[in-house]
Amino acid sequence: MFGKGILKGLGVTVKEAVSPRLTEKYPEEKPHLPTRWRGGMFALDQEACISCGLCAMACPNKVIRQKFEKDENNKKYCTEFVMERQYCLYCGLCVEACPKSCLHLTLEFETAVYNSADVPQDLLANNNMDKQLSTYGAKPPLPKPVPPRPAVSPAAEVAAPDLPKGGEK
Amino acid sequence: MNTETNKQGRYSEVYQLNFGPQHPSTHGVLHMLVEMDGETCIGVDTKIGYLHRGMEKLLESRTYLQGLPYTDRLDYLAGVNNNLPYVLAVEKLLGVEVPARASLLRMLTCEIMRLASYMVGVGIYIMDLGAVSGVFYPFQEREYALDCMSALCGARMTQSYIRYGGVQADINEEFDVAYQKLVAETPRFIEMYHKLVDENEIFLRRTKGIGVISAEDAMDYALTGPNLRASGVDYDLRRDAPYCLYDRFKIEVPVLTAGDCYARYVQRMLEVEKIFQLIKEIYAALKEEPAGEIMAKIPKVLKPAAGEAYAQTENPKGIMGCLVASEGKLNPLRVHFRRPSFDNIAIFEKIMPGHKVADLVSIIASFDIVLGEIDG
Ligand code: SF4
Ligand code: SF4
Repeated sequence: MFGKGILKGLGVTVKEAVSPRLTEKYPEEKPHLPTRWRGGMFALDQEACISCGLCAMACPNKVIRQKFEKDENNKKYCTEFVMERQYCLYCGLCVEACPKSCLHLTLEFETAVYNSADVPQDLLANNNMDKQLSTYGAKPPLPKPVPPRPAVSPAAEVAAPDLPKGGEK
Repeated sequence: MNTETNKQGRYSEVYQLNFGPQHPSTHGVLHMLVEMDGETCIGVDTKIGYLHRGMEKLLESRTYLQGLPYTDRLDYLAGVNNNLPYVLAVEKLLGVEVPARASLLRMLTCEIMRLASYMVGVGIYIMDLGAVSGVFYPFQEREYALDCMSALCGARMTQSYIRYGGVQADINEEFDVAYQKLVAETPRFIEMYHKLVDENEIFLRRTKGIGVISAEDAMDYALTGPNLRASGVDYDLRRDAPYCLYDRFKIEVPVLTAGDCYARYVQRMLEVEKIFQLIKEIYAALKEEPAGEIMAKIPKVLKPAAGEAYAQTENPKGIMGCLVASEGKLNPLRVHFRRPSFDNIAIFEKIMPGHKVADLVSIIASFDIVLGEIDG
């Protein structure tokens, strides 16, 4: 009979139409973001930052604008740390590159603003650390302490970076 | 120009129809200049490049690691699958050995995203033929796959999860939960979708015998992926030239012979079952694999030795190849991708003439092309 297949298909549609709702009722219901969420805003733990500039070097799209100066003890400090989020790919390479694990992504997703000038994020003005942080790029705790090797060649030092302790939050 | 009277004895002038680039059934911005005689297509000229972002040049102007996130944007429906050929080619230059666990994770994510990509493929196919509700169910299913990926690496679509020498992160509990959900929902979906589409008379009439590709033509035009296998050529890189650890698994490759639009739909649905099977096998193997390294020891600053390397993988759309030439500098000298969708659409000029406009929509939809990949 012509139309049998269509009726069968319609049966499926009807069944699905009365099945439980799967969509979330945003904005009443907030989406559940995974803990490794990559997106939203950035947060910077200023105390831990050593102003090495590695994050800016890792970025593929020159998102991170940094300026450094030296204090009287010849210690570098940051005078500008702006994430120009409009160019950001949210690849997370900057977070992974940070040797002190002080740059983070946050578990935010409502990042729309009214003014394009508000898109870049000045991390020195607002370090955003009060937000819920994403665990993306968190280095897993080392399985067991590695015994110090007697002679470390410079090449091996590059290959095995110094992993700071501390697991996923 | 053909100005003779057509079959009905009416005079009709040959005219040109611009199909796309702003047309919902062209999967983005494909532009076809169709030569029409009445309602029948007599010639097709495919025009591409509306989504060209200079991907290869972008990669050449960045370091190896910085280039990696851009590869996701080629076939944006299957991000990790695009990372893999680039990474494999660079790894050939670096000469690194990838830990088994990392290889399994690469395969697992690639298969999950293959499933997700097929879901979009069949869903949009059905929608282009007018069954709009047919797109929702596969997208729902795809969401479970994307949940797995976002639990694993934080991103749903542009994952850049695969790294030189391994992968970015190991699986966590969140991934396991998302994975169990995917496993629980997929069989139900497959059954339901067969019921919804397989016997639909409208669908059958619009796809059976339309856009038939013979096995010879398919090979002559270098078709790859499910479009090739639907024409009766039994070729799948995962089985015939295994990379990663695919040789550890038994890869079943369904092959159909009809080569028409309907066969391409059935081919995808059959493959979905096999992919699902494979995902479960890889996951089981991963759980047996002792926890350990997911990254090989590679230098922080990548400077592969001068030379060339080529790697290819079986992507959801076909065979994706990547050539990387290095001068021993921080950035590659030349990167080139063999993009499966790009090669697949070459056959349009051969199979489209003789069909009506509505059939052209069926043919484009049955190919499951993605323009990010075609335009590069
Ligand atoms: S997420 Fe990627 S693009 Fe964005 S600032 Fe970090 S490195 Fe740059
Ligand atoms: S990489 Fe980390 S420590 Fe270095 S400048 Fe960036 S945020 Fe600071």
